[in-house]
Amino acid sequence: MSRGPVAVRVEGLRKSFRGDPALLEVSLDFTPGGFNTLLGPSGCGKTTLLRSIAGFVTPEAGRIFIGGEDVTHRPPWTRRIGFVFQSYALWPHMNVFENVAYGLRLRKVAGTELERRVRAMLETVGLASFHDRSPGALSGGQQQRVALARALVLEPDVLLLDEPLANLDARLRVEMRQEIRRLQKELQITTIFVTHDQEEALELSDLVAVMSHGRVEQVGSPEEVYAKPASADVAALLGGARFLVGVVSEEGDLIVDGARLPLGLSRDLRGQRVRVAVSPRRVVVVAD
Amino acid sequence: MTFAERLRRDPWLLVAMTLGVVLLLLVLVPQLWIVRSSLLAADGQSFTLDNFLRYLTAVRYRTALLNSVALAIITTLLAMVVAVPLAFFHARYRLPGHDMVLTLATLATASPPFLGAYAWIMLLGFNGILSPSLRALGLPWHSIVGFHGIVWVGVWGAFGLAFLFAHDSFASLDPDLEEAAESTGASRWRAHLDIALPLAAPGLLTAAYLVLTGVLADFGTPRIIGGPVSVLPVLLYHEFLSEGGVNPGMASAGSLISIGLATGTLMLQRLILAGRSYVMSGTRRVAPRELPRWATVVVTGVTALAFLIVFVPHLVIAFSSFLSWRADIPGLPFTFDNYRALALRSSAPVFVSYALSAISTLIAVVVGTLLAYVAVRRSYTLLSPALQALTMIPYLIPGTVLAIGLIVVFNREPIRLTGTWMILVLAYFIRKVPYATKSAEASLYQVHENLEEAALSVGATPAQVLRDVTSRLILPGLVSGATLTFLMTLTELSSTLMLYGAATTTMSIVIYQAAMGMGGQFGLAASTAVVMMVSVYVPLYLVRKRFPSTGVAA
Repeated sequence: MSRGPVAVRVEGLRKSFRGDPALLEVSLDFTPGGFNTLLGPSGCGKTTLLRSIAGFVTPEAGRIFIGGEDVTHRPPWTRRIGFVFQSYALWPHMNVFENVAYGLRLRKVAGTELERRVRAMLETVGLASFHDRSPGALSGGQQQRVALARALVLEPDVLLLDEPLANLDARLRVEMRQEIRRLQKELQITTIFVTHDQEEALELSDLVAVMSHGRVEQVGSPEEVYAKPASADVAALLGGARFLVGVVSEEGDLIVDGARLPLGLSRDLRGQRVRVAVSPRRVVVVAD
Repeated sequence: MTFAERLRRDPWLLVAMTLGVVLLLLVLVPQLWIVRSSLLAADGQSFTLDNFLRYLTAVRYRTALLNSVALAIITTLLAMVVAVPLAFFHARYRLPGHDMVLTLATLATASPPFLGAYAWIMLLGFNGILSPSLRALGLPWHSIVGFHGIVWVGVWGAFGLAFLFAHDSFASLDPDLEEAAESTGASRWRAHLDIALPLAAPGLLTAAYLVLTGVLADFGTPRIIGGPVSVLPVLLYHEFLSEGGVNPGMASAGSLISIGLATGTLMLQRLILAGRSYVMSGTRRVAPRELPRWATVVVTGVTALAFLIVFVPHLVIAFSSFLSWRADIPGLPFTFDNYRALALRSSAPVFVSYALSAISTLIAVVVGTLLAYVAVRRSYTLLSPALQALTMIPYLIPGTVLAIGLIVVFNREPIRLTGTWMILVLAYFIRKVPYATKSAEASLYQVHENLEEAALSVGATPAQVLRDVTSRLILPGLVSGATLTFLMTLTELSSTLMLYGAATTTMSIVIYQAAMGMGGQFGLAASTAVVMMVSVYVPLYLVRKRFPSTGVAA
């Protein structure tokens, strides 16, 4: 990792599929060397954003910068990315070693150098003794480790993770996410992680971008987005909030169906109709 | 984004455009020349619809047209009547030799129709082996040659295909549906009729469609066993090639009418099928039930008889290849002379057939794979639908018509291909590219796109992705598709007959000439036919063992 953490930025990205908008003017600055999470429900555009950064999807408008360089029109194979898929996407006709070695071979790395780097990476993900296995003979967690190794062995500028834990069972999921976080910290690689699981987002991230309907609703540290959700959608996504809908009285009370809740709401909201998100930990008011 | 940037990001766009141009030149341009020629008046200057009108008014043309349509309908109905009930029993009841029946049916689909026509003449022609015995029994038997002969050969030629499709349709039905009907008080036969038959109807209709278009386009059978009965493909052949009677205008008009019939049939099939494809919810396979013992015996007996009739031509030909032939009279003793002659003097057609089929198959599989890749993985606004249409056009063009188009376009400078091996390769390639494409598409759908994207993400260019990942993963499918394509080209007759030259005489031509009573090399033709059968059935059997879902008709 000689180049140090790499900055990734997108500006005004737009994309639609057959008329259905997937990204509406998305702009984001990801934390270099940090763990950045795109959080949102399915269909919110988070995967489209990730695939745009990888180059699998061509945006209709906007720009993508990796390490300060405009890569918007560069094809994926020139972008120095690592991509990990929900489905692992290990090549079934190659064994574990060959899966990891393939990218290095394309870069003309051969012989003992190739051997050394692949084995070192398999060691890092804890699969040193699995090098000659076929992917089909591995468990889901092991396959995802191979996929990680395949991406990381190339020392990419940015690591892109598309719901990598979604296909794992609950216990493995917790184990794997700690593993991913450990690797990321160790390698100081700029990572963008897509998930719909708020628990994963809050536990792992340096930066969380909450997305909904093709837009970024809020960006901030996990603490910020949890404590001060910028919209009802964000609040609903984080912590499974329930809502109380009512009108704010002169005294700052909330009137719900004639019942008065003394919540001490801001006087600015007097007379307004509001939704109050009630989360397990806090009660948060947002403009309706 | 500039066009150059777009190409750099997606080199497949360039591939797709190249394929478009190539198919346009090879597939569409010849057909457009046929259109032009069909509209040209006798003076070669003005345009007219007279050629088309004559197909409706002049007896010679109208008869051929009506014969074609009548033959297609009668043959299809009879083939379905024979194949569907048998297929039903084999799909739903436990019967002995189930796997062998399916294997035989698969082999039967690859049987070249002209072999059947040839063998049935040997058996039941005026001078056929069995004809004197029939007459001795007092039957008023004349000859198999005629309308009834075309139907007979057509029905048994289509039997394998109809059987396989019907079998699949019945076997994929959710058994719960019929059991549900029985639970409401329907008898088992009521349930079969009210539930199984309507649900299988789309599959049966597809089978009927394939049989119908096959008969409409078949040249070999009516030419060999039709005698004086004229049908469209044979008429086109005469109009276009026979000495003295060359009439390109009428041949072209007839070609368009043939394509029109095929297109109309396709549209009719689509129309009937629209909204009728039921989604089967159950994944449970039908557990075969038991038939009463007497019924098992009857069904097995009828099945055996059907397959005996299907394969009788092959047995007859194999048998006759070991006989001593004096001119056209076979006799004893048994001998290997026919094979010795084949090996020593007349092996060229075998090599020609193999070489032409191998080259055209290779091209068809490569081009078909590229076409399939664009079809499955890309959706270009204009290019994708255009490519899809261009890929499927050859499917609608009978071999005779395709040959006419190629001759019209490639018999002049700067590209004079007529009489060379290249025009045969071209014809085979065009005819089989739809099949090769469909087969590659089926394989590609099995390969998750993420596997390719994973390779792109580690730095592989699209060409490297194709070489190192995609092609490796679809290889088994490609091999099985290529085998089937190879077998189909090995037995191609209709376009071969119009395009071959002395140096490019294929096995099918040798057999055709013997079947037409020409050339006097009957023993040699028999041994050549055996080589052809072995060349077709052995690989097909092996492919089926390895890929049990293989079907020629795909």
